[in-house]
Amino acid sequence: MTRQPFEEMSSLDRLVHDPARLAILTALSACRSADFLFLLSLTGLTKGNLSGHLGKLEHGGLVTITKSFKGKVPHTGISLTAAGRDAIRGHWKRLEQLHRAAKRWTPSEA
Amino acid sequence: MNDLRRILYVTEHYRQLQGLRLLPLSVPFLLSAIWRIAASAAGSTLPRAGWLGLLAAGVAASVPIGRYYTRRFGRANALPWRAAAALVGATAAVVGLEWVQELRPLPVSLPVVFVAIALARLGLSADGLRIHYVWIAAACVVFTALAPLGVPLDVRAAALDLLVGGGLAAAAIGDDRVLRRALTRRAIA
Repeated sequence: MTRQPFEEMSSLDRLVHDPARLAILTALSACRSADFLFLLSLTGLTKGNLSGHLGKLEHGGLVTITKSFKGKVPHTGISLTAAGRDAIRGHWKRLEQLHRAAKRWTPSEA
Repeated sequence: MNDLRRILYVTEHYRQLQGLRLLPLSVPFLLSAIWRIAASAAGSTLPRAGWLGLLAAGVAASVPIGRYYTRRFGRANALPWRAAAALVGATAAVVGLEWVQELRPLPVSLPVVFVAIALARLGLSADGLRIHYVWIAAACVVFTALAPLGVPLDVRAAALDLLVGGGLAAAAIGDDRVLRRALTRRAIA
């Protein structure tokens, strides 16, 4: 028996599917790398929140974080790892499949 | 979903959306247009060295403006091939069309028509986020109609300067507004 689209949704990877982390990964998938300030401006998260999400993504092996100094100013660069790029690409593909399946779904299938 | 589309678009086009970088480049064209209109009776044009100096100053001024955007909104390094491929493709198309135009003179300028189509496409993409480009494209279409309408060459020259200068200024202000709106929204969830 095939699974219903709504059952499929529960099997999405929560590390990627959390709204803030999905936003971060989506942004990083559209560039080579970005810095902390850019992700802060783009997502509207607080510094602490963004740091927390980036920590989880780094721990999950989806992003790499490099800390350096540009002159006297600290600079944090973030980029996707190969696994991260695959994860976000796969996640979007899956979301699109789910979207299509949900559109086709009729109550009689339940 | 809309937020994610915005995030994807702004990150992909972050450098292009730093509109104020274009603003100084509009100055030499607008000054040239004003000069041409004011001096049309005398038939003089803005001295070439002065115009090139202003253009060089405009290019130089875009560097600190770019630094301002980095300080204000951060840095995102674009995927290398995207912007370069679009720029190379557009330049090749304009040069090719200019060549065709020289071989077979037509009443309308093919490169300007191409630019108008490209700008309209840009303006209508991403749910009309950069709709100001449609207005610039419309101005290009109006410009192409000047020659068939028999408008004198010196007036068309002034109109071309006005089109380029005004187009750059409109693109600069419009893109800057789009970027500011996109980067100062409420937090994601």
